[in-house]
Amino acid sequence: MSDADAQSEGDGWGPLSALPGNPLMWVLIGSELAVFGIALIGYCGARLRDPAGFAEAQNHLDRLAGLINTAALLTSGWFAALALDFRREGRRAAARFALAGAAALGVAFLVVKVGEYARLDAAGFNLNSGGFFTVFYLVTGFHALHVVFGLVLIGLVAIFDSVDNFETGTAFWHMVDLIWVVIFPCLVLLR
Amino acid sequence: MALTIAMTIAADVRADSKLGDLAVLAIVVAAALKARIILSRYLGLSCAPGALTAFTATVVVLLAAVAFSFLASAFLH
Repeated sequence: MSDADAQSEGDGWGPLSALPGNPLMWVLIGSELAVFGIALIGYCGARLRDPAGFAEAQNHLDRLAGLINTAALLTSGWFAALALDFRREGRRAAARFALAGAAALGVAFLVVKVGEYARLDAAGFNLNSGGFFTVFYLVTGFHALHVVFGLVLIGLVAIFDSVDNFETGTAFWHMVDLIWVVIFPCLVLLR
Repeated sequence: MALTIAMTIAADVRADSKLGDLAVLAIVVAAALKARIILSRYLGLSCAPGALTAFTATVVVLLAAVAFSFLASAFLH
């Protein structure tokens, strides 16, 4: 495909053509924000009916573990951005190394998250332990699934390491990061 | 990372007490700023100001709704 053809194909995305990376990734980012946004609005509605019950349930969460996870995911995002910069400069080995750093911190996030679920479950708090825990497990579990999918994507990008793939893969990873910085304070910190 | 530390202080993570209105606002503002940084720098929307504004506005409206529900619950109950 010539550059002119590629340009013409890019223009076919309308306003999405102005966005960096793959336009379909932006469709995904927009729809994910909408899904998690609706979940948070539902959470607010449920919480307004029983603020005391929700606050009591929230006190069983490990907020410090959540903050450690926030730091892990933010640092992971920084590594992913670094990986993309390296790849654009043609430094493929450095890009893969930075990507491995991003993935390692993603795995650390999941380890902390699974540990938190196990601790809560052992204490008797599961999906059926009232409104707060139903929303908490569904929203954070769905997010954790995105982290798992992101790790798979990072693995694929490390193998098929074109600049375009790097842009798409790291954009997904940053989206996971973005969703976490919104849902974490709402579900865990605010009380 | 500085915003995460600020959030940690505002949230008083070791206490189980209800947060004050100012702490709620500080946490929400820190979250909005973090989201803005991710959108602008990491997702590269600084080169598409219109999209950056639209995505930031979506996040801000969402966080404002959450903060409002927390602050409103104090009056409703």
